[in-house]
Amino acid sequence: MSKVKIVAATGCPTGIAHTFMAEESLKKAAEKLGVEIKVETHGQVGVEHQLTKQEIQEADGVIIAADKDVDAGRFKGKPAIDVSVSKGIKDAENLIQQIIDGKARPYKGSSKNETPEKESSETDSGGVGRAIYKHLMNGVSHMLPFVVGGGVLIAVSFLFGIHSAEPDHETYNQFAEFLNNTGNVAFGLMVPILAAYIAQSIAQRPGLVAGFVGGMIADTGGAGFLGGIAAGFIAGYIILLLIKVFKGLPKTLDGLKAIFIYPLLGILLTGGAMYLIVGPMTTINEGMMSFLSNFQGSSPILLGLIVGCMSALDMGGPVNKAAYLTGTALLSDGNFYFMAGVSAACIAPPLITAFATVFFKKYFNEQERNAGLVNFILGSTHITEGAIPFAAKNPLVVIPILMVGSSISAILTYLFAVQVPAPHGGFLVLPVVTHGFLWVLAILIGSLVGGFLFGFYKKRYYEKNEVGVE
Amino acid sequence: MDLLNKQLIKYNSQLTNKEEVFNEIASLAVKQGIAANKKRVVKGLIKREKESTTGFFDGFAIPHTKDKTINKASVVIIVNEKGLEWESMDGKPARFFISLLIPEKEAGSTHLNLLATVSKMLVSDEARAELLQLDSADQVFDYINGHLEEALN
Repeated sequence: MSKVKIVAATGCPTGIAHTFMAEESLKKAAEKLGVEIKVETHGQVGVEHQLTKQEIQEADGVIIAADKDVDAGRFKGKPAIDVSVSKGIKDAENLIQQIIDGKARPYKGSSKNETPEKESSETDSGGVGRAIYKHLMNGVSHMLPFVVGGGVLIAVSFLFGIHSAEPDHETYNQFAEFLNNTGNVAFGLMVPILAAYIAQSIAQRPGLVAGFVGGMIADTGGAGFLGGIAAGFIAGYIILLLIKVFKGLPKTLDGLKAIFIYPLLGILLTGGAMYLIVGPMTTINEGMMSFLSNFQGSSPILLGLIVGCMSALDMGGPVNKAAYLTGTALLSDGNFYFMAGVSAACIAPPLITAFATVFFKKYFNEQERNAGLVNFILGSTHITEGAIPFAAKNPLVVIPILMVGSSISAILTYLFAVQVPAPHGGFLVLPVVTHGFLWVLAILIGSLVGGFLFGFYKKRYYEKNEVGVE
Repeated sequence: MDLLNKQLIKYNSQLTNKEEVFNEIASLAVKQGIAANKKRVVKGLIKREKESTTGFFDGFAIPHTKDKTINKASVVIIVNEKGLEWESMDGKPARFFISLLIPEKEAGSTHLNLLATVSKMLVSDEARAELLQLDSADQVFDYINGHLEEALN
């Protein structure tokens, strides 16, 4: 009989000590018991000694000793033992013996890896909130590069003239159109990616599929990034539910589940739920527009407050669009005042995040600080979406802060009677803006106030939760 | 090996509880310019300990943390005179603390690999037995350094 072959994966949250102690323990035990082992480590440096498909296939058994996600889905169907990392250190011999004795059960994706922090969250009352934050973070960190890359391409296209991407405009430039279109494709993926990776964090690969589709429906249905967040959570939990429902099926059907049942039912159910959600979006959008039209002639303060709140609420969702579309409609009627406030309110959110990351540097991680700098560009060119990654991490707190900043900018803009005759372009259209200096001032004041609010919030959050900006 | 430094090893401490151990680790680190903010290091160690114990076998524990105020990957070692309750894997009180401190953005894998080497060393029964035989900071330094160099070659 040939030597027993085992593959193992170890990992712990910090990835500094226990991951490697478990590796060492397993190797020592394997040597002692005369079996062949390869241990993949998920440490701080990343994944080392990565297991190949062939190695997994050839192995007689799998040992998962981890307190974090080690992509255990690929072990499906293999005889496996799934334990905490400390068990891997303590009981290595025992674990290996179980594999040798053929006591390990075929792996079917355990609950432990769906909620990798189970062990610690049991003792931690903040478990649910932290899990939600973790899912959001996973979505946001995957989305961010799309926002930055796409946003900057669009901003650069504006440098050729803000209408340069429109084929029948006199300033049309083919290269600008290319930049603009490419940037917009990246932007179009923003919401689907957000939804997909929120769902992936909840329910691994099957979640990714359903989340992607749900996010796409949210995006095309005009539900904006809030719709995307909803899609991600809905898709993720639908898959978890399906996993539960089909738990009883014989193990021989595991392959079928992964390739057929979860994608099919996951997409179907998520799609159904999303249709219910995006259905009323048009109604909301139209409702908000008629609501807004009632206030067109009201005082600058009230109008500014409404426009500010609407623009910052969902950044690209139905409410924001209502403000923007009303603005463009009024532009064609020759009303240049209204759009000035909308623009100010749309420019403020990215600038708020930018100022916050500059003045409160130490409370943001590196990724956020870099995104913050880029947001100076995105804000200045009226690309509100730059603020979305910041808002999506904690919508309930960040969006109200953005609303305050945007409202201040819009109110001041109306008080200063600024006129902006262009529907986008941000500060690039300054040459044609009436009272341009006051407009910039209004936007900066709102952005600084918002930036400081955001910064103070981050500071408080940080001090409360201590150490470790992920 | 610049990971280890005799000034970061303290022998025969008279500490009486976890908190004091963490404080001592952080003080040593700050004094040697390894970390800028003592409070944050202590909090980081406590936080990690809360996630799951770092207690190991035979009185060894490896408290560790990652923080941006730590500027250099380092090992701080404290050998306490008496054992302290640490929820260790074998239930024995801990007195030999090998603490790993890592900068938030430790990019070079060299340091992390060395830290992993220190952790792995403790898995060996012989290494633990030998470490317990030592009786001065100098000896601990030589022993671990020797081990690291061996691992490097």
